[in-house]
This record gives sequence, C-alpha cells and structure tokens, in this order.
Amino acid sequence: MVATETTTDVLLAAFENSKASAGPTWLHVLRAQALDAYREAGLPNIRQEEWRYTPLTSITRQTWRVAPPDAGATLRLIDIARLLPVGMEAPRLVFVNGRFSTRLSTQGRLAAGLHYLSLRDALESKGPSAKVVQAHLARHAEIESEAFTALNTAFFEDGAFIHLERGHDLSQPIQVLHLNVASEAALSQPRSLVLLDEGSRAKLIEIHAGIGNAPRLQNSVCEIVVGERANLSHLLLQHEDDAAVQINMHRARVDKGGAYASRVFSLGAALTRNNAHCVLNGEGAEATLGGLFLGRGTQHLDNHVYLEHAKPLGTSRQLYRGVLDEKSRGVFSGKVVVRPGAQKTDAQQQNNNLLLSDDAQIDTKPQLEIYADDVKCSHGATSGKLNEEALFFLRSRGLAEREARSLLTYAFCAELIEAVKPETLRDALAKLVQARFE
Amino acid sequence: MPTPLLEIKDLHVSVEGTEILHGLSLSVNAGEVHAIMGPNGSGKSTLTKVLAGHEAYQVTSGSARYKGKDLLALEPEIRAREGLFLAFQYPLEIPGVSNTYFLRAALNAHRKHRGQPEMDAAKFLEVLKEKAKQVDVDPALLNRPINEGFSGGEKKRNEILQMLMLEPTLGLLDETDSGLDIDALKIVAHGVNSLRSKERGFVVVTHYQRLLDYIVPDYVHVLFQGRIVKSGKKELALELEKKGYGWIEEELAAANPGSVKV
Ligand SMILES: Nc1ncnc2c1ncn2[C@@H]1O[C@H](COP(=O)(O)OP(=O)(O)OP(=O)(O)O)[C@@H](O)[C@H]1O
Ligand SMILES: [Mg+2]
Repeated sequence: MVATETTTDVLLAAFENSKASAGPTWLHVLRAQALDAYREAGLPNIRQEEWRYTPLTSITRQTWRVAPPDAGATLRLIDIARLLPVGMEAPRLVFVNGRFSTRLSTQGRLAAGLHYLSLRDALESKGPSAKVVQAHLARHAEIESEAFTALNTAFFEDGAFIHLERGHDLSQPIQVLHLNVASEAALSQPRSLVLLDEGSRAKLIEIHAGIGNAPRLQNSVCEIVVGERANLSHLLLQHEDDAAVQINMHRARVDKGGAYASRVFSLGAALTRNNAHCVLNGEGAEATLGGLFLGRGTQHLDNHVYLEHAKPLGTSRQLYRGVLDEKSRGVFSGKVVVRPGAQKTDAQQQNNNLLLSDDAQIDTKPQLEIYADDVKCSHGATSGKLNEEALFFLRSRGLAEREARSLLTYAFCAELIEAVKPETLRDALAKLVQARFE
Repeated sequence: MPTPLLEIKDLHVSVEGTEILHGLSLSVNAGEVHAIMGPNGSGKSTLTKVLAGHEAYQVTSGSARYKGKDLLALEPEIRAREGLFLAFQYPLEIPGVSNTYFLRAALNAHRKHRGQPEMDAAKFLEVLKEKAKQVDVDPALLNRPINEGFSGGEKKRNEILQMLMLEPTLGLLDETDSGLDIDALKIVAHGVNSLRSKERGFVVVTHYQRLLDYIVPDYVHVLFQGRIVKSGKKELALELEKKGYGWIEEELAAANPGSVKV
C-alpha cells in the first residue's frame, strides 16, 4: 500500500494547486469528508468479499499523477470521430483526462428543457443548475462504504452535467466521451450527474476510451436519477486496451413508474471494474441492466451489479454475458435485494459466459436476497465453451473453422447487441464486436 | 471402370474408444443412389458423420476415397467445398446465427474454392427465395437464427434447402424422411430428385421403404452391427419392410457361427 499513500499525497498536492480547489464551501466540506473517508478505508483488497476476485495490483504497483493540463492539446476532431459510434452529428461533451474540452465538444442545437454542460460550468453558473448540483452531488453515491467513490469525490475536476426538465423528450441521443491521453501514468476522475425530471425521456451514450501506451487509470463516478415516469436509456461503451485500468461507479435511482435501461459494452482493459448500483425507489419502477464483457490476453473484467427493489410492483431484468479468451479473467457478481414490502416484484437475473480457451477463467456469483413474500424472482449463471456440434455443422457447410468460431462467438453476444437502438448505434457496436472475433 | 465417386474400404471407426464401424466397405459411382437401411444403433449416422469429417469419430483403419482422393485427410470444410454434403438426422438449432447470413457465407466459400466470384446479396436472395419455394420453406423463417423455433419438418426441409443451394456432388441424407408428413416427404424427395444427374451421387439413410418410392435407389444396403452385411436392388427394401431384420441376423449366424450375438 506504500504506492497508494504516495498517490494520495501526490493527488492532494496537485489538487491544491488546481482550479478544482476553488468552488463553493459546501463542496469543500464534502471533499474534506470524502478524503477522510478514503484515508480511513484505504484501497479495497482481496480480503474483502466484494473484491475477492479482483486484486488491484495494476493500481498499487505505481504512483499515479493527474495528467498535465496540456495533455491532449494536439487532439483533433478527426482523432475522436472514430470513437463516437453515432458520429459527429449528435451533441457531445468531451472530457480529456477528466477535464472538459470546449474545443472538442459541441452542444448542437440545444433541445428545450435540456441543461447539458460540464459539471464545473454548472457549479459556476448563475442559473438554477448550481442548486441542482448541490442537491444531488454525492447524495446518491456513497463515500463511506466505497473507497473509490470517496477518492473521486475528494479530487474530481469535472464531468458531465445532464439535466432534462419535466416532460421533455429528447429525440437525439446525447454523447459523453471520456478520453484519457497521457505520456506517463495518469489518473483521471470524471464525475457526472444525469438527472431526468418527471415524465422526461432521453438516450445517453457514454464512451470511455484511451489513446497512447502510457498507463491510464480512470476512476469515474456517475450519479443518475430517473424521475417519476421518466425514461433513460444509457449505453456505456468501454473502448479501451491493455494500458487502461477502469474503475466505474454508476449509481442510479429510479422513481415511481420510471424506467432505466443500462447496457455496458466492455471491449477489454488491463483491469475493468464496473459497479452498477440501481435502486428502484418508487412503485412500478423498471430496470433493464445488461452488459457484454470481452477479455483477452491477461485482461481482467469485473462486473458488480447491485439491484434493489425498494418499493412494490417493480420489474428488473439483467443479462450479462462474458467472452473470455487466452488468459483473461472475468468476474460477475450480481445481487438482487427485495426489501420488505416490495411486493409483486418481478426480478430476473442471468449471467452467461463463454470461455474460448482453457486458461480463461470466470467467477460468477448471482445472488438473491428476498425479504418480501409475494415476488417472482429468478437467477442463473452458465459458463461453457463453444458448442462443438454447432462448429461442426458450420464447417460441414463449407465455412472455415476460424470463420465458424467467429460466427458462433458473435452469436453468443448477439442478443445484447440486437437490443440496442437506434440502428446506427447497433450496427456500430456489431462491427466493433465482430472485429474482435475475426 | 471409372473411378467411383466414393469408395470406402474396410473402414473401422471408434467413438470415445468404442469401435462402432467394424470394417465397412461401400462403393458409390457418380449417377447412383444408394439407400442404407439398418436397425437403430447399427452405425448409419456414424458412417455419415465420419465421411463429413466429425472429429469425435476416429478412423482406426481402412480408407475412404472421394473422387479418387483421400477423403479422410481433408478438413470438414474442404470436404464440403469439394462437393460433399450431409443432411443431418437431428438438425441443430443455432441461436444468434441467421440462416441467410450463414448460407451466403457458405455458398461464397464454395464459390471461392472453385475460383468463382462471390455472389452478391441481391442475387443470393433471389436464388434463395426460388429454392425455398421449391421445398416449401417460408422465406420469413430464413431471417431467423438457424432452425430456431422451426418445427421438426421445417428443420428437415431446411437441410434440403441448404443442399439445393450448395448443389453437392455427393449428398448424404441421414433420415431426412423421419418426422415428415406425406406432403413434405414428396417435396423433399422432389428436391433430391431435381439434383440427380450423372455427375452426382447420393447415399440415403432411411428406416422406411416409403421414401424409396419417391427417391428410387439403384442399390439398397443393410448396415448391421457396424458392417454392410447385405446388398441388393430396390426390392431388398420391400423385403426388409415386410420381414424386419431378424432373418438377416439368422442368415449371418448360420453363415458365421459365433460372430453375431443373437
Ligand atoms: N458421439 C457419440 N458418443 C458416444 N457414442 C456414440 C456417439 N455416436 C454414436 N454413438 C454410438 O454408436 C452407435 C451407433 O450410433 P449411430 O448413431 O451411428 O446409429 P444409427 O444407425 O444412426 O441409429 P439410428 O437408426 O437410431 O439413427 C450407438 O450405439 C451410439 O450410441
Ligand atoms: Mg442415425
């Protein structure tokens, strides 16, 4: 843990010299609390149940610094175009190393009722957004129990602020790109808020990507509130590689009659830990959570899902699929909790894994905790190899073995990809995933 | 004598260490249709799968030559591209892989192997629709994943559709008739007959003489305990239908005491 202490000190020094240390008093207080909480807890370790399968050596073996302000200054639009699955037309907020890039972002024609800007701009704004930030920031994510959230809260510089007012329906998806670029080991900690007021609807595409060979650690936190009868469709594309370590916390609250759909596509990183935490906080709320995680080499992909039915008549669907090749390792831990009184809950959870090599490994732990009696809950997990009979069938029709394998591997992923809308986004994802298996 | 299309000599095949075929020999010339009948578990599907190149079936001795070449040395996909086709007894469902996509990829692999250009999507769909009609397969089914949610009969017709698209030189049909209603049986038989030519050969595995009313064979063989123990003309099928396999067992026992468990 020596390296970690150093990292904290380095961060503290960097923070005190940065613009992030400005800001309202309430935020200073919050940051100080968070730093205390982080110092108290330290980084998680494998002796803790929630981190049993995910050692953090790729984090602890070096000291992390925040990237210098000019890192990524030479990035051109063309460099980011290929990272945007729905292209340059849709509005986008671009963050380079956790800092807002006005130059690379575009608001498009701002839809009515939409506040769509950087969190720091929201904090500094004279309008109502500053109050909204104060009302929500760190009100959903926990700093006491989550060390990484505490670290992010203490030191974040910026992130996306998306607030859609009551009753508005966005026709176009909005994009948020978190790009990490550095010439030496760098840490970024984006912090975002996504708030949908009553009856509003939006589609959000969040992209995590990196450029270059230097180690990149991204510790992001995103707090999401889906208001009464609101509807948020959230797609997260993690387009990273072996230089990246990704720790993500998505913390969502869904109010009465609201619906939240989240799909995470993780194309692999040295280490990815995705925490999805979702509370169905009002009657009849719905959550559809899913993800596809693809590992190769010695990559490690960990999906931790916590889904809580706090109120009656909620529906939740979870489908997570992992494809692990070579010596990669996957973890799925999914807990569904049904609180007392959350009657007529309908919850399903499914995790399927495909192991493409004898050295690949998956640890899967689906769990149900039910404290109500009138509920319908199911869960299950499977792990296996490609179906040899299907492989033989395709070859017996003339397909090369490689092609047959790639077709069947893609087929394993197809259900998650096919559910994606709009079509342009689905096709872009299909291409990315297909390319992985060619 | 011309080179036979398929020539199997003294073939021994094991699955997981157990020998299933105990020295099987069979010769099929271009232009011929051979029917293979035999009791359950006698090794009919084993024969068709080993010819198609299934890795679970190990050839321990003997040979199989196709168009004069060593068939057993070829990968399954090369056998297919060289014109060998197996219609499976139990067609698999393959979720996530569309019929149309896979079949076009297969056809283009064949064409590439023959040095022909790829068939474009529009032309392919046109041909596919026409052949689907021929075997009475609803084109809407073809956008679905392979055999997913297909009825038993639809699966069998889909096998024949694939055969019509790939136009093999040697067709191996493993109980394509089982599970078909009488109309479907005629449709399937018609599909097979439409491919019959003096360049092509077929090996048709069946339990029922009825199929052979529609696909009239040149020869009928009885596969029994891993060997072909009797061969004849199409009348043999009628005799089997009437008398079952008991008399063959008795004949064998009489000719070769101790070799067959009665
Ligand atoms: N993959 C396999 N693993 C283990 N045993 C097998 C396998 N395939 C075939 N066998 C065995 O080999 C024997 C012959 O099976 P095969 O399927 O070839 O018979 P068949 O003549 O096609 O029978 P049917 O008329 O019932 O289709 C059987 O005893 C079967 O159990
Ligand atoms: Mg059989």
